[in-house]
Amino acid sequence: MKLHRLILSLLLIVLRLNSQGQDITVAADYPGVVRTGEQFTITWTINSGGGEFVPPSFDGFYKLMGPQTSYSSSTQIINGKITRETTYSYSYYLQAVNSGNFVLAPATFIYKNRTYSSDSIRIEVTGTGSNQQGRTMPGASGNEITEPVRETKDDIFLNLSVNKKDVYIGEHIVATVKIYTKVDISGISEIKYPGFEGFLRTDLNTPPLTSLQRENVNGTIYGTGIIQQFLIYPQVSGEITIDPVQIKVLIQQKSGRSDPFFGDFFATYTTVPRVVVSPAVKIKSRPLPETKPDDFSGIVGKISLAASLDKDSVKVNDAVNLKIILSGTGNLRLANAPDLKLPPDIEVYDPKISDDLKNTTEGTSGRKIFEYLLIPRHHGEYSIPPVSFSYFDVSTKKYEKLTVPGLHFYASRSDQPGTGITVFGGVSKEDVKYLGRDIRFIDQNPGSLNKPMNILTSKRSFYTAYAGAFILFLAILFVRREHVRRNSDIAVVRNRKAAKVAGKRLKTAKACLKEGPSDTFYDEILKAIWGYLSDKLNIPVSDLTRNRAVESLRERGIAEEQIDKLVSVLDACEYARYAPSSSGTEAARLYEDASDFISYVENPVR
Amino acid sequence: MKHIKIILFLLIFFLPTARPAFAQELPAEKFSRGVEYYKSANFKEALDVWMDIYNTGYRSAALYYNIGNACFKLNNVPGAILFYERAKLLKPGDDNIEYNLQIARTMVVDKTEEIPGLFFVKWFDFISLLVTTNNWAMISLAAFIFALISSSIYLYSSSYRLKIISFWLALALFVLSACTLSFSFRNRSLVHNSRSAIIFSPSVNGKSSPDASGTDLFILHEGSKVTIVDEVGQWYEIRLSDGNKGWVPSDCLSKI
Repeated sequence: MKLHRLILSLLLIVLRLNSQGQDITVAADYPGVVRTGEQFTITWTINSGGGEFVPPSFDGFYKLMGPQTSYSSSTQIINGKITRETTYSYSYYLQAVNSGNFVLAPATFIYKNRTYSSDSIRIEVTGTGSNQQGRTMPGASGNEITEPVRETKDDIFLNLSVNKKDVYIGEHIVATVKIYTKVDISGISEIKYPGFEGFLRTDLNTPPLTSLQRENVNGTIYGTGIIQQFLIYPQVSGEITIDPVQIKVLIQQKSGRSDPFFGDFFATYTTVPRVVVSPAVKIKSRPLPETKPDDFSGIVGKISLAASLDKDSVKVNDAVNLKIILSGTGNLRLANAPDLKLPPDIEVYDPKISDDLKNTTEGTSGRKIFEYLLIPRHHGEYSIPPVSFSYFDVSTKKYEKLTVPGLHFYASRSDQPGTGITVFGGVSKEDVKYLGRDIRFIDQNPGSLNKPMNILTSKRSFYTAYAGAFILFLAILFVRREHVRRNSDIAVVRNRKAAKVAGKRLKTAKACLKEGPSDTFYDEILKAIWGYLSDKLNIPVSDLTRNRAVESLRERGIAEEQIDKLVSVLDACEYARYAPSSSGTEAARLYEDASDFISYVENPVR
Repeated sequence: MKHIKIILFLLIFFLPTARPAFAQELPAEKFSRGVEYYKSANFKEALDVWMDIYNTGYRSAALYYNIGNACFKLNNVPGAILFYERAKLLKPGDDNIEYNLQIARTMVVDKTEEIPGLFFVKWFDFISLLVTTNNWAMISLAAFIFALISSSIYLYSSSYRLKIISFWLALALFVLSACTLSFSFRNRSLVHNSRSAIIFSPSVNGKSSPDASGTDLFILHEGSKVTIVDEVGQWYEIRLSDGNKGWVPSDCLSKI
């Protein structure tokens, strides 16, 4: 062993590494819990040599031996890159004397007038415990003789611990599978993890179990080691049970007694497999509050949102990158792409989703990036509406809404003269895009708001109007027909009209009289009388003579004096026609007589 | 004297306009209040206001159309269809009414295949719905009276040309009168004595007889349009668009 070290040291001298540039760290390695009277080792490891190492005072402990200095160095050449490591370690062998909690001051290392110190050391010394000999740490195993340990139920057990038991759906839980043992184990041959039904499980990076840590469990010192850690997210609400973890450990059991001279050195060991099962764990998973926002992404945790465009002005048909970054802590792996309400003229492709997530005991953190490729198909100003994203904040127990303001970019007309050949006429027409269907808007004009009247066609009066109109028509028809019929008898008509015609003539005569008696006056009077007689007596004017008229009048029973009056009027008129010298009064009397006669004849005849 | 005349004039002018101010708001004002509600997406209030106008007895195609729209926005599809159908009767061939009715019909569960009527029946119905039944009746009466006058002219006129013209005019007016009278009857039967109805119950079984124990023949869902054939007590016999008949309770449908 010493020889090896010597050769190594010589090699290192040849290679002479320069360790000035690297950071110097001082690390301490010690058991956390010891029993009174137990011997143990504290080792400080320094990745540099050449300085002065000052150990703390070991108050409360009895120093058995030390420091024991060792030195190791390694050189790696990977692809021509040389890395060298040197470590110096200082080991002290101590024995615990009194029980209690002890704190040792940090050890310091002085190198080139600079002081580097380690962490302070906390050691718990337990008082009681007679035969619980912790042999689990190979490095700390004492060399005293112990009784063979017959393993009991408590000798070795497995625990599945969770950091939270009352969570919301989607909130992260760290589940730790830890082994506690008082006996030597040589290995773990089989691990059966539960299915974690109702959870989304992510394995946390757990260093392989190489050495066990000492831990005080209810006054008993166990060697403990974390086998695996998980990050689990409940996916359903209610009480979820995590099934037990089952492992098969190989226990080293000493067979036969220790040799009295050589101790355990020649003792023989047998490996006994043993199945250890952890208790089942129950977790209460609470559902998220009911009032989910529309844009709820499913994320529980704490996140922030950012969005950006890589260019704010492009040519038509050139691509623009829209990047939406979600960063923070939570079940980001489940985050859906935010719903973009892009204008329909932009062609958009499915987003490229990349994530940079780290799983730690604090939950999953990192960022998730959605990259959208947008291609404007027409020139003009485009605006991307605000992107909003909601998540559930566990600390405030509320839904939080993240919004990034809307983005804008301008697409200018593409000039594609590159080909040199311009083809006109190939303008492609597009159909109008119909985006949705909805009913059309209301009519804002009330139109003619009427109360409906009674229906006319179901009223009798309406049909009565038809009938009335028709009856009126028939009545007019009948009256008219009668009229025509009477007109067809000329004699009767003439008879009936005689007085009218005569009256007209007399009127003319009267008009003449105003200008003084003249030929026209007498003429009119004569015409009136002769016309009247002709019509009345139904004798044609050509056949009418004075005698015949008088006879006819007598036949009709006209009074003699009236006939005489007529005759005298006729005489006077005829005389006056040839000797027009009579006075106006005489003319007026003639007119009176003529009209008297006509009115007289008219009455008895009718 | 002159002053009194002016005052009287003013009174006569302002009396008819002032009167409604004392009473209730005009239905037209109420209507525009509904429009405002609808614009601000308060469909419930808009529907209430318009239904109020409707219940006081006022009718117009725009009112029906708007009620239909408000019903549609409130997810009352059968109500929307009912009022669109009513609006269609008052304003046939209106593009918006037709379009919204089509949209509303797509929400109906039952597939309705309306058998297209004969083209002249469709034209006849269309024309008869252009004018209200009363106006058709008035036109008919006026045409009849003018026809009689034309006939009189024909009978008594001595001019040969006038006789010819008045003869043909009278004939045309008689035909017009008869046509408009038949339009009036058709309009009355379509609008006022409609036999069509819209199913309002979410689902209803068509029975073979007018009692609850009858065999179920078919199942109808809300919004379907049916024709009422017969009525017995609280039951209607309805005919579907495919010709099947069945009895349904009278409270599950609403006449157009």
